Amino acid sequence: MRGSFFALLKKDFRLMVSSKFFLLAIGSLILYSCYINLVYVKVDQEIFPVYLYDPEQVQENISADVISVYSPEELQNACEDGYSIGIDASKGTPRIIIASCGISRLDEMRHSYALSKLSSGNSRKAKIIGPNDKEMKNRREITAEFLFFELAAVGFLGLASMLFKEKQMGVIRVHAVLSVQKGAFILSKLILILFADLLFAALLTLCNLGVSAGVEVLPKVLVQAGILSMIMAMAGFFFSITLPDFKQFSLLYLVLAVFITTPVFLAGQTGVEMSWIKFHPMYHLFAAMKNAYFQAPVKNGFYYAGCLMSIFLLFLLARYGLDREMKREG
Amino acid sequence: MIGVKNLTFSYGKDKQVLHGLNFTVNDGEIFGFLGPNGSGKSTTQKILTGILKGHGGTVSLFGQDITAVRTQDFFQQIGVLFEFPYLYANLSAIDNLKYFSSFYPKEQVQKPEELLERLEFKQDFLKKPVSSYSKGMRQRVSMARALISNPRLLFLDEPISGLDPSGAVLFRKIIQEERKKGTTVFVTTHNMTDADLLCDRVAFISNGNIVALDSPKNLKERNSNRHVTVEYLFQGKQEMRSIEASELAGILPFPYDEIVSIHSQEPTLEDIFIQYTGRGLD
Amino acid sequence: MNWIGLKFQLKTIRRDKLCILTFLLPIIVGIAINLLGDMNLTSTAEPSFGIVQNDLTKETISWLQETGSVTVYDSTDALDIAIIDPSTQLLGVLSLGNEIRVLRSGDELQMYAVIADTLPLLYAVRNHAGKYEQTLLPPKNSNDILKPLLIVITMITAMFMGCTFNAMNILSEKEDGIVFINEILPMTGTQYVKQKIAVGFLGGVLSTVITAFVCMRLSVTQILPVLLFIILSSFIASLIGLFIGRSANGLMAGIMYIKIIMILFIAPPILFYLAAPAGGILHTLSYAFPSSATFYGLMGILNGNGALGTEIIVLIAHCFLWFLLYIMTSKRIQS
Repeated sequence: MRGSFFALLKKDFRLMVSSKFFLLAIGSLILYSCYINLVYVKVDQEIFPVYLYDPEQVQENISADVISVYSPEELQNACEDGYSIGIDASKGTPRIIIASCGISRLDEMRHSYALSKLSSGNSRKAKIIGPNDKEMKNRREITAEFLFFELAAVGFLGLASMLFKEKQMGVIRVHAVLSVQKGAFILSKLILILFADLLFAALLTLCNLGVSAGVEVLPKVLVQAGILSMIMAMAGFFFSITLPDFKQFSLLYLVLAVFITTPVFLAGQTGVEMSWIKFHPMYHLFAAMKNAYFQAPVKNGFYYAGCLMSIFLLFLLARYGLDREMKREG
Repeated sequence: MIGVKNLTFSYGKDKQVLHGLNFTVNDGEIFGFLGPNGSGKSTTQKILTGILKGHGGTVSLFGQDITAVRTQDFFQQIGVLFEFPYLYANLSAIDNLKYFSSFYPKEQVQKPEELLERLEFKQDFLKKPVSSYSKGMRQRVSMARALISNPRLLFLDEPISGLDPSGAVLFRKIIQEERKKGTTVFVTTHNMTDADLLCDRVAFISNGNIVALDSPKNLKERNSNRHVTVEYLFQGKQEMRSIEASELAGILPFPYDEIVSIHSQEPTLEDIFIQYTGRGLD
Repeated sequence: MNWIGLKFQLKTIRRDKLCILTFLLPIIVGIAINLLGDMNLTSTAEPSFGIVQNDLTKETISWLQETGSVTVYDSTDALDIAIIDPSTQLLGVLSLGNEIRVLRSGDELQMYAVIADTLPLLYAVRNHAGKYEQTLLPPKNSNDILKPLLIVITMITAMFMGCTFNAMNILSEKEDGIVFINEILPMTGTQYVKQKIAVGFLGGVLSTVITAFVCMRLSVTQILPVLLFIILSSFIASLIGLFIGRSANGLMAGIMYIKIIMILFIAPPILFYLAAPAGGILHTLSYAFPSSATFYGLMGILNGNGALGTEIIVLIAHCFLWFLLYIMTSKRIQS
């Protein structure tokens, strides 16, 4: 019994190697890490630059970060972009020039900010209450997103392409007449995918959060990665065993990617409010992954119960699909 | 119609599959090309249909070297039935035939509906997608595709494959009818009965060489030991004895009460093939 | 051109679910963008403040509401959690006598960090506005930068999805064995290429024209340049479809190639458009992707930019280069 399970594991491992599963995962790891370290950590939005035209230099209380310009045209050009602010102090009373950005509140904020630049007072600095700086937040945020994407989409596709190859070769039906349990056939694939995904999660986390921060979050991240990996692998197994060809699977994949993942990202990444998003199961998986990276309070028991229930149900569905495929003719 | 002299072909440097084939196919002849898997028969057919290039020796079709005739005109004069029924799975039989016939001059093309009727294709399926057809129905549509342009030269690879006995009879009848119209037919098959029933001449190919070429009748005659088996009753017992066929002319050289049956011991084409090549067809 | 042949080729495309979804997807997204028209997609750009119930005066709250959105929390703890939430840039505002004090998480973008640090001063000088004159210039472009971006991304997707139609057509022919029949049909190589380009081109053009009709509001003078972009881009996409169809040895590999092409054609132009300033080396290099020229061109049209010569020339050059590359590689494969 144990021997046949190891034979299945060995066979599935070889299939994964031949389908370039590991190569793709390493490629993704390098690509994501390069993007995070070279691009994303530097993403920022600077405060509105303030330009001052003051030929007589009458303004005394001007803040040091105000940029001086030397002609009205220069001032005009500088604040045309809808973001910068111009102050024309050439005619006695200073005039604040703002090219509207189209958002009235932001225009108002720019106006207030300009006023502060003309004032001599000092401001009380805001109190920082969070544990992260901007770079670490960016690193945690994007690593969580990439890991979610990799496990939810790429891993799902990887398992399906492997299974479709077996289906095309007709060897799945051969297993019906071998002394192999159907559950073992599913489990061997699941174990390998889970192992590969956990390894990927660990490497991605350590490469992009650094060793100390990475090790700190790793236990929680691995739990969430494990849950997501099992759910997606099982769903991938069920759909690829049920759908007749890879083309139809790809169709489903496209629909999943566009209509299911996009709202999750929108809700998780931006402030766009979607009240219905709490009914979206993938959103909870995404939020749990993000929480794990930010070491936010772990989700409640309902979440884990739901995950376990889903894994169990998906396993039953996968078994049912496998059973049907084995009975199929031709 | 077809002239092949010293035909050689290699896939790469070390993999020579044809070692100097020589044969001719006459106008209006049904020529059978028989050989086991990997013997070089598909390669030969691909060279003859202009798909494979880079052969050695000379191959002429319609009286011209194949390298010169491999033009649109050439493809308008040939029809090819492949071993597998290649069709657009999401189009119907009619759509498939209309599509393929659009590449031939209008005056040369047969009507798809009439052709399918001749091939006894189920009328309910005419407009259903090919993906819903059985293997035999697909084979009928494929045959129709090969015939739709009224080709002068027809290449058939395993034409009877996937057909039930009545379908096989129908296909043999259609091939004979095509021959009567003057079409030359080059058949590649494993099926000895088909070759025997259909072909005017057959060539046995083994390891890239033609080991025998003649009409099935001549081959059988030449390789026959001219013996017959006689089953008879003598003193209440059924017995069997093999004698020379010429002995049937006179009095049988053994005592008997009643003759039950007489069987000729003429070899089958398969027996002859094994005799020439030392191996079977599969 | 064999029109009957083309008709049946298009019929096979019409019966391919993947092609139909590819065709409809940009149109559906276009409709969704239109439906989103009334939704304020820019709300994420304005500052958001969190306050605690019964803490600030009405006057302070209304001042905050003038410059950003305000959310009221039950307690300071709830406010702290909301501030720390990594998906927001929320700034906490609490009273401090006649002044205010601000809480921030410390991981904000620089803009919000500076606003947080200067907010007490802004509050203090809120009544100084009368001392100065103000000129508010009308917005130069549309107030919504996200919508045109989404429209152009959808249009690019529709145009370059054209490669799916003929790539899938060629791959299905490979799967069904039609590729063997093509070898013995009286059809020249040129006829074959023409037919396959036509399949991808027509699919791409039709899908993009409908998408444009659904989500773009064009003036009469803008129609011609948009049409030109659609035609040139769809032609390039159909050539890419030919490459995919020829290179992929199966449906699975083909679908993978299409996905890679889609990522390569959609992501870089957005990135370069947002990150690389026009006229810079990166911006110029980005023209190596044909979709970049289309992207910049369409953004230019939506932003009312009239000078599109460079983009059109780059696209024409791409058409020639891809076509030549296909012909040259085909000859090499044949030989």
